[in-house]
Amino acid sequence: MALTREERKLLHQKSKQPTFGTGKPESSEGNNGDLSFRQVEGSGTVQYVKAQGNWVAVASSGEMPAIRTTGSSSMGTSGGVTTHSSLNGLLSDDHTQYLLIDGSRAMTGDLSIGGGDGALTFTNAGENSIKIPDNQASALIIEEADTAYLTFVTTDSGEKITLGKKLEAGSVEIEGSAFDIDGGDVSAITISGDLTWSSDQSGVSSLSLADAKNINLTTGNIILTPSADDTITIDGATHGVLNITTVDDAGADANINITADGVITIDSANNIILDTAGANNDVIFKNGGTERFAFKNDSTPELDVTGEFILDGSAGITIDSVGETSIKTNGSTVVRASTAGNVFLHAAANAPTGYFASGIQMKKDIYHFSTGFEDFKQNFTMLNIYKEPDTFEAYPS
Amino acid sequence: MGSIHNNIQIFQIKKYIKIPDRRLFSGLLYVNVVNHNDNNSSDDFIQQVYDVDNASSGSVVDGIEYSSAFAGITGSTANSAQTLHDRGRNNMKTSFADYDCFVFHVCGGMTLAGGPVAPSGLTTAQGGSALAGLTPSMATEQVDGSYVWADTGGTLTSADLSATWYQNRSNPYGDYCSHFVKHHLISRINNASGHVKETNGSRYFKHRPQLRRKFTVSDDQHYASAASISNEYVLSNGTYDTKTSNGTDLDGKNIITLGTGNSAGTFHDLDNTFDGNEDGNTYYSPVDRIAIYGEHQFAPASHFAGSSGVWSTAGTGAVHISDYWDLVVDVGVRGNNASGSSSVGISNKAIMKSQVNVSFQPFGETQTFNVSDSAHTS
Repeated sequence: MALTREERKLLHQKSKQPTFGTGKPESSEGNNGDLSFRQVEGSGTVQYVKAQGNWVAVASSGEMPAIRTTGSSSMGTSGGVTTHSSLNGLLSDDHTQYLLIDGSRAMTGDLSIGGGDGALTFTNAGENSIKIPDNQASALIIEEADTAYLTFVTTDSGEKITLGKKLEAGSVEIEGSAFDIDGGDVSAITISGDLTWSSDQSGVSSLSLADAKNINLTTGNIILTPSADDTITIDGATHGVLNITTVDDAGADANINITADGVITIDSANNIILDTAGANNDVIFKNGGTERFAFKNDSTPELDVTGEFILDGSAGITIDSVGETSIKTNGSTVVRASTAGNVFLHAAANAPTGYFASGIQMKKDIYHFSTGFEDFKQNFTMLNIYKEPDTFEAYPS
Repeated sequence: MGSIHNNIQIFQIKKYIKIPDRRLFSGLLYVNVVNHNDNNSSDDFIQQVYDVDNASSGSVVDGIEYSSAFAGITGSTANSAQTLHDRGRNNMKTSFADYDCFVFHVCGGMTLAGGPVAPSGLTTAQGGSALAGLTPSMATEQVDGSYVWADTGGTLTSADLSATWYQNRSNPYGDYCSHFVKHHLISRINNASGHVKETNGSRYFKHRPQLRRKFTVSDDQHYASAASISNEYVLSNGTYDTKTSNGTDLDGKNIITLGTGNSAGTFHDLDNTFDGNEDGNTYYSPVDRIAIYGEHQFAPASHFAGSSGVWSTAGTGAVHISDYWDLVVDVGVRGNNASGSSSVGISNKAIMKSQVNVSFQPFGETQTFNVSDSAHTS
């Protein structure tokens, strides 16, 4: 005959709820502490509790079984006591399998409470507690089957409570002065007050803020250490000075790369200073990866342009040099403006010592214009000179 | 006209054009000189001098009135001021007409290769001992073996000790460097060539003529006939056009009309004749004459003992530049008489403020020119 559903429950120990059936349960069924109500012929409904591997009948809705009435026959012919309060020796504690209401007898087996809400209720107005044994790795485990939800460890110097499942506090505050959350993943946390760290936070994998929220630092820095001793420091200083400092401890490769999927604008209220140093001093402008402008930013600055170069001014364009100004074509001087204000066009083959050989020269101080092939050959000059007498009689008047 | 040569009161305005050694050039040289002070609109100088000289108050300053231009010089004495004629140009503001313009063809260059002359036959000395041994002694030996010059007391330098010193300072010295710059006046135009001596005072001087010299022979033969040399002393070239090409007289819209216009016939068009005091050539040229030549830095060092001396072109302080020279454009504008009426004085001022513009357009073997108001020393 197939097992009933309740029998299968008892067999597979899937419930701590009382089971129901007919006939006395077999000792192979259930676990210690299980309850089972059985319809037993002649006894009505009998309540069984399994203790120490055996089912013990602890109550019945029918007449006491014959074996019990048989025992009382030694008392003569008087009839059996049918009222419980008429029994003698009710205060005699000779049924040690029963719990005492005053709790003076410790249970020797498991306790299974079949009640629902308030199944275990403390009613003392004073202190109420559940005491667990000391120095035990599993002093108390609250578990579902063998899945621990909450484990109390009383091991000396290792006392702790271990959560086996997610702790949902809801709107309830968790307060304390020495919380130690060691390891694991706090998937989300809201901190309404100050957050104090007593040591460097080196294990934060990422940090995101909600929209429109700020990271406010007063005197501290933001320091990134992507590799040992190599740092990126972002710090602020008086007047709102922003410093971004990169350090390559072993070399000089702490580059700063800014990649924008849009426009990069540097809008300065004052100077924009690019201060280069070292052997490579170029300030380079590229277009699509092709170098276009290279400013040789050293003691002999130079602007190298790749491509057709147009100097397009919306107003005047002035080249103002303290020293000479020269214009070359393919390395050959075609225009040379000297510090004396003279202009020479096209270098010529030779010139007397101390003179610059040129095809055309214009001298400012004497309004001197010359053309020539070279010294001794084919030279034509126009000199224009002006002078006044430095002293003269007053005009008669 | 030779009598004009005693006009010596000249104020020189010089320009020095630095040119490399031995570069032949040939070109035109223009000199424009005009009388004005910041382009003021004054009466012309002759008229202004007359007006001021005849005014009840004020007078022409002696430096102008007794300059050679207005008084001339006899011997070493400035003549009395001359009687000037009224040119009738009062308030015409024609000081602009006081100009003088020259065009020269200038050729040549300068060679500096010859260098200083090393004369022979003179007593020479080289080294401190030799200089000390001259009579009179030119140097004195010191206890440390050095020598000092007798005149300055200065120690003889290594250049002094190695130089050859020639005794007799008065002996002519020089070098074989020479300029071969010649110029030919192509044209000179001014408005000052019509003054007539008799009508302007017997000693009234015009500007000095500029010499133009020409060498010619009488026929076209290749043999060497002696050349005829003709000199022209040019006061001015040029003429005014007073008529259009179709013969129409120019008038007030083109040319100055002289006179007052108070009555008929008082106007006379400016013309080219010497028919009176109202022609157009009685203005004032600020230029006396112009010289164009080359020079270079050459100054031997010399030391003296009494009336005797030694000189050297190699001693300390001696200068001889042999790689460049200066083309000098020497514009002699009329100067004042610095001593006033009492005697002839050397001019220390120009007689008026003149504006001098020089344009030189040489073609040839160099284009390396530098211009300075003083001789180049480097």
